[in-house]
Amino acid sequence: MERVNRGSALMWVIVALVVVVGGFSILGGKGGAPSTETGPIKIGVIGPLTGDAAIYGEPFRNTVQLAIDEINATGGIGGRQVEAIYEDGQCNGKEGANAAQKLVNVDKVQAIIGGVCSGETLTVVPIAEKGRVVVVSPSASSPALTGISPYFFRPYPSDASQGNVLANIAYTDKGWKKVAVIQEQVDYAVGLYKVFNQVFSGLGGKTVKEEFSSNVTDFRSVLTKLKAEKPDALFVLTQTAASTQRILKQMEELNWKPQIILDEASAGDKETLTTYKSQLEGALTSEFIPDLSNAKLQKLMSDYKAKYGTELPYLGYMAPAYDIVYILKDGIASVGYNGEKLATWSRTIKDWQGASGSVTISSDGDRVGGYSSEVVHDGKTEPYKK
Amino acid sequence: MEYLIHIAVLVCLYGILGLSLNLVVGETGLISVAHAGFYGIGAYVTALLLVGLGMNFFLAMALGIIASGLVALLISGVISRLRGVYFLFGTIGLNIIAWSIFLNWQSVTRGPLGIPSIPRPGIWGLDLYQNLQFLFLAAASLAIVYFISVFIKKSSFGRVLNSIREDEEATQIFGYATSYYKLAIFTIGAMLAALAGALFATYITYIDPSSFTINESIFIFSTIVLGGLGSSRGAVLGPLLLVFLFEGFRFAGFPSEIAAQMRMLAYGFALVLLMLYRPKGIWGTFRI
Repeated sequence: MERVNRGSALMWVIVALVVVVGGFSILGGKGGAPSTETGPIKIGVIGPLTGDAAIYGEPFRNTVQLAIDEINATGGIGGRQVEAIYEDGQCNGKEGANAAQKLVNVDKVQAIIGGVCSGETLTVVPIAEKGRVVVVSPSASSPALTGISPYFFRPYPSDASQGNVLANIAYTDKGWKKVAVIQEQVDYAVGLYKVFNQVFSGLGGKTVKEEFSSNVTDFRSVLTKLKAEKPDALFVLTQTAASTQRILKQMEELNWKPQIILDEASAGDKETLTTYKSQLEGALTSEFIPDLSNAKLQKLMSDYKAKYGTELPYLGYMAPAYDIVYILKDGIASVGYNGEKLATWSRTIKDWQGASGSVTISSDGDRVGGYSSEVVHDGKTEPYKK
Repeated sequence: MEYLIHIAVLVCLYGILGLSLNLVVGETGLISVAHAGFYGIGAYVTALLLVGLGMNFFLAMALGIIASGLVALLISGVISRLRGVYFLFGTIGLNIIAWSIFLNWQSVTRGPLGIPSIPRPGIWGLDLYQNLQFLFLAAASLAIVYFISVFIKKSSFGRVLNSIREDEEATQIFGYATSYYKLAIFTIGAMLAALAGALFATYITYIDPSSFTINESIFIFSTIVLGGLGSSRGAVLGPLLLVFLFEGFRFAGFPSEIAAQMRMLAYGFALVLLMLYRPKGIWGTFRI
């Protein structure tokens, strides 16, 4: 009995300590508004630093830090250094909300870069809007984010744009009436399918869809089923190039050679295009891939390699991430570090030149244009010509 | 302050989840890791009714709770016959089924896209859009669940549950149809979890399947093990400590390159230490 009492007394002490230390550190961080005139400019960054999506979060963090280091090395913004506060959003709504609450209300940042996924971004935006903090995502592409808040913008096009481009060419130019879709069960692919289907059906076409979850590696039965539908083309809609490669390989085994539509996640993967060169010849695709001859992008790629020792992955996501830091720099230099003013300013961004090309933000916060249609020829993508 | 209010709301939500799971695990000795499934059913049903039909929040929440209860009732008809580790596996399966349905029934749940823009509840003309007011709603719900939990524990029904935990066969010999008791408490636990789900959906205003995975069930489970199984106080204290611990690591001053990873590592390490030195949890009366 006495042991139990002693144990619970000890536990009480631990509880009290955790509460006091926790409370103190949380309130302590809050105490005294950070100096807004002279201290470093603190920018919040939310991304999937741990968990399944950390493969995007890690290069994202590196890219943002690279841009910030460059800015600080050349005198910061108006003489003030820039400091990023990284929080883990895990591509999950709840974690995104936790991170946003901390950045907005404790660190009192005026701008948040992130989230990387649409799931975390959707919960960050309402919290930021309430705290009058501007949010810029480099890669959240869900159509649900279009026009969600005056405090949100993205130098990345909505999936709606990609679906639209593909559906129009498939129906109007190619004359395909029935398209089979093999789709991975992830938000990116679902969102893209919805837009594609909507536009394609609207034009008078028909889609037949089979889904697979991300851990599936055997597609033979699904492919056989789709082949039996005798579609005019097959839309391979995956988030990872590895799945696309398996699908293509198994199609070859089944001796099925339809016309192919690829999404940008696979079209952006050089290995897929070269390995399956003959199968993919003439495949229709659409990419948001920054122009590789762009000098700013080339500099980003070589600086990234020099600093981190690996190639810059996911150019379509990382080039906008890099640009965001510089866009914010320009915004802060012209209207000051204030979320409300930055939000208004963001809608005036027009033909801003960065590593991802020319950035124009429309009134609903989306990047204007972005996706261009392409065809695969000899293991490479080239611009689509009618 | 807003941030503390946010954490307090999370503590209330996990407190409700902890209390409801404690009824199943701590009081009855059924090791269940399906709690996030029922939490998710409550969240999804409430969110869909609010977004799709513009229903009153309390009505939507009540229907969410009933839906979760019905599902639990149907399923526990099967799994309440299972014992020990077999019951555990049954509940793992349950959580995975629930999660797969959230993910795959796209015409209803929108699958991985989730449900955005879930409205916050309004009550008697009072808009609960402010987090502070929402905290009152969450705290009141926690208090109600706490009293339900204490009431069940003190009732004769609760004593039968405890005796099932200690020795199910002996309880059966005394003439109790233990599988009915197990079925009843499993259903009650699921309904209370759905209450937390309804609050979560309207508080965060966006839900997707990633919030209701088996990992979430394990997190809820670990909160009550920390607080102490079989203790209502413990089932609130555990979530409080874990949420604070988890958020507190944001301020631990790890270098920014590894801060997020260190946070997960420290959290895991704390759980291992707990199991080594205090397997009964803080106020536990029962050890698995």
